[in-house]
Amino acid sequence: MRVGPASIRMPAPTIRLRMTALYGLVFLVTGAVLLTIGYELVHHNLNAPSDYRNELRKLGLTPPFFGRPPAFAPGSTDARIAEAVRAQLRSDALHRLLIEYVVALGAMTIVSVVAGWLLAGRALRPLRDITATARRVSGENLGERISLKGPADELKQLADTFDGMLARLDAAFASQRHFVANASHELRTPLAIMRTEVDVSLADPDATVEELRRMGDAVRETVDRSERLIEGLLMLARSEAATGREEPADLAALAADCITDLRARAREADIEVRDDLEPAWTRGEPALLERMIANLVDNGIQHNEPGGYLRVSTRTVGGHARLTVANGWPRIDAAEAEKLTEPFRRLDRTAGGSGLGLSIVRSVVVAHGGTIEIRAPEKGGLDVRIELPALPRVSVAVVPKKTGRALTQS
Amino acid sequence: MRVLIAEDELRLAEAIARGLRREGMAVDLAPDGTDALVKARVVRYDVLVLDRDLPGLHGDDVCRAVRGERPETGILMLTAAGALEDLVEGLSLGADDYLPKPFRFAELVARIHALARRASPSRPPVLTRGDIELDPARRVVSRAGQSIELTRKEFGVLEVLMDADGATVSAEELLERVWDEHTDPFTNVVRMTIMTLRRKLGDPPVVETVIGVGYRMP
Repeated sequence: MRVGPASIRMPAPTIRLRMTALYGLVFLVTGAVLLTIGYELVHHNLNAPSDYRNELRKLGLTPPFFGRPPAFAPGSTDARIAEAVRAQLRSDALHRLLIEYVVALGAMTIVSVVAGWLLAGRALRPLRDITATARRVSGENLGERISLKGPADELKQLADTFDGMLARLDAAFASQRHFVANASHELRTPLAIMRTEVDVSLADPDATVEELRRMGDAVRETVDRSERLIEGLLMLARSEAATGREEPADLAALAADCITDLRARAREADIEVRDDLEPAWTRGEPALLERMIANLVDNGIQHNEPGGYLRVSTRTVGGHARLTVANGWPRIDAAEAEKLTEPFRRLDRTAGGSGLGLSIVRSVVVAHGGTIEIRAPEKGGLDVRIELPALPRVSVAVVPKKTGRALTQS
Repeated sequence: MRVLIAEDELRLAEAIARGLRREGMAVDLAPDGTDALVKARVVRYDVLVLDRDLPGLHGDDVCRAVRGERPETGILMLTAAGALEDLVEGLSLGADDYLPKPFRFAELVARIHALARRASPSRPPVLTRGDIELDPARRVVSRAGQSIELTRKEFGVLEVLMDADGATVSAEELLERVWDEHTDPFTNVVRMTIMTLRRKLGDPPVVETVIGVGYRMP
């Protein structure tokens, strides 16, 4: 809090102050208009010809006439005196009225300003609560809510909207923290392995060439693992911020390329690859879409059993380009399957994957405005179905329908 | 000294075990939390090196359970989460020490020694019995100023016997504290080791056999 000259500056033009000034002004103007009207009415009525019989009766005198009171002969001295008396009375009355009106107006304006100040404060109190909460909230402390009580008015709506935003932020921050914690764990573990391998081997003065060589192998393997992890992290970050060039891409062609690349590995692992590729055109960043399919196919081969199968199919169905990758994984718990797109979620921690493959897939799908559905059927295995917005029919007609056929033969 | 390493990264666990064995410790491995707890219940470990992110039973739960059932076992938490609040949380769960990954191996060894010493508060850093001196941290033994070369197991047996402060130690206890889980419990390695140890320590003999009970250093 500042003291000294700063504290006697004009108060900041807060809404409360402005509302108070507005209240006061409106009251002043309305009051002034009202009083002017009153004044004018009084002024007008005082000039009207009056009947003074009632006043005479009040004085105990019987009016000595009927109908209009007799007037003095016009132009006579009496008439002039009577007129002068009446004029004086009128002017006195109006003068007093004016002073009283001005005083009353001033006093009531002050009252209305004070009342306006209090009322504005009361009306704005929820806003102050909202401000105070917003001020308290920070990245570490997103659990705060305003929870404004009261009628469902504009301020309650504001507070509720704000609460909703906080809840979403909270969730986003929590997931971010979770991700960072996981990533830190995943990055540090290989470092710890390398460090320990090197420390232990070098601390042994009698280490043989054999042992040192084994240490070198272990370190290299761990470096490979770190590389895969870092590449995965970068790919995930890139796919989340997918703003690269978008161009028409055929999922069928991309899938066919990918299967060709991985066919040797599949044969080695004794896994039968069945493809059923029909044109499925969509718009997107080809590199990311390719990575998406490669991750799915790679997963399907990696987490499989000898003699198992991997089925890849693409279709255009009702405005969607659909890609389905299914394999004969061992049986997976359905609840576990849903979580597989979370970063670093692995079915088998010893398998050596980075745990980012399906996260990248989901991230690419979301960045392209599509949906992903992962199911673990009862009979075992995993079905991943991805739907991306299809290109309009016009483009689809251009597509040569060749990719799928050639591959099913091999 | 007997140590259990509960760590799911097999490569890391094996590297640590190799290093600790060379330091003369008897090391067992547990790849998950459940296994770690079972082993910690069965064997009296001097130190448990516990990874926090264990599959099966979480490291925090293992820590709590072992702290409750085995107060004499020192727990060193090993984790990739190196933030201050993780450290505070880890220690408040009952861990005695906390080492973030990656760590220097020499530091891990020093901390394990410190923890083992803490388990028996009266124990000095260097054990002495008669004219024999044993320094567990630097792994040197000397008799009357003359340093003696001992194998890891001989060193371990001598350490346990000196630590017992004249009390008799059974062959089973020596087996549990100096050898790891892969040793056949019916083996005569203890007898053999005592024999070679006696020979190396020279005259006058310091290790006595208490027939039917075990060994002691009066």
